[in-house]
Amino acid sequence: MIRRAFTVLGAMVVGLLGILTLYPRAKSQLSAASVNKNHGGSKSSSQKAAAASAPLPVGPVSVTGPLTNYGFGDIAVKVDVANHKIVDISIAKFQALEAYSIEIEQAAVPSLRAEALKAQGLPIGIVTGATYTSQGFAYSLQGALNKLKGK
Amino acid sequence: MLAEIPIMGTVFTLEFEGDGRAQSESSALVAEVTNELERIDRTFSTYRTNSEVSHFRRHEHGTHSESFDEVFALCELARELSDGFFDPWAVPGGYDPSGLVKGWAGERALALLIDAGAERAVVNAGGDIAIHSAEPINIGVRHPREADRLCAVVQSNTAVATSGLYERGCHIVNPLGAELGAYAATVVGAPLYLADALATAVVAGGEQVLAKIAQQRQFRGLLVTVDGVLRAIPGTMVTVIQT
Repeated sequence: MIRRAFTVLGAMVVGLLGILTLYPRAKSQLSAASVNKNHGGSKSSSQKAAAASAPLPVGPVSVTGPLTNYGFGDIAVKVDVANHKIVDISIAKFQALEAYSIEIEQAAVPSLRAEALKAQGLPIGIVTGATYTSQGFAYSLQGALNKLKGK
Repeated sequence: MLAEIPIMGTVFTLEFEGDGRAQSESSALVAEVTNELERIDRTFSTYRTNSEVSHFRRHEHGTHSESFDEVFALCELARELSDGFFDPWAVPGGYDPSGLVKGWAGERALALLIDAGAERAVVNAGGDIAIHSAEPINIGVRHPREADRLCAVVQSNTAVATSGLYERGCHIVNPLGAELGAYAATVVGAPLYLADALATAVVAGGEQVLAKIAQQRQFRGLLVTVDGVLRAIPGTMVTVIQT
């Protein structure tokens, strides 16, 4: 039903980019067409962002971000850099109130670590649409990145 | 300084910097913001039977506070800007401004930090973010299906809001009675309460509402359909995170 509605609306709407399908298994014909047509646009904007961010040192070097108290505990994030790239992100120190520790340790932290590695130095200080658990991690990571970039 | 305030069924995070502020001054400022957020919650919460909004919903009309009238007018503005897809009057039980109040409270909190001299300040109202910064900051957009992953990165030095059907206590309805138009939506641009209301409107009305937003220079945005297709107004994203 929703897919049909988009086919109709798609004809009326000009200027929206269909960037990609987040769940490849569910890729619809409509999305495949718009990804092909508009891929160039999204590529150029991401290249611009990469050029704008400051380079990381050649390393190898390890820097620990500030121990951040975020209301429900403390967290400090360690970043390892080699050859201008982040090679690892780990938790240097972590203490949380018991009620929150399971959620943070088992869900948010390992995956945020993977995401930060994927983003490679594009410092993401904050996440929209997410709950608070990411904030302490992001704040400490940002502090470590700032140190690495000599800010 | 980073502080977290549990309120309105979520958590507000304050992050601010200013030169030479003593720890005690920062703590006093956090207390001031906390008091203001609690006042807002007492006025607008639909979960509190004695809030002004709850009285209004029960048709117990009296004189209204300045805040109540301001939010009422802003709800009308948001309804107009969204072609009726953000409609606090279409909610079961009558007028419910919750979808706008969280962002409005975020703006109030940010204003208090700026008034106190913060050079850079970020208020994260449970994933809806108000920013005061000379430089734009990178904001990860939560992946709609998996809470601990990102699907895109946007930049802003004003405000970013996200609405999605994954949210706790999500009561988004399409005022036209039809199916919802998107699974999640993010709107970039200030004020935060309008970005938040428009993100909710995009979830209700889909691409049609996003196209309407694209006509206004003030806002940018993206949506993710129920099929997982990410569609964005050109210039919204700095990067897309592929799986």
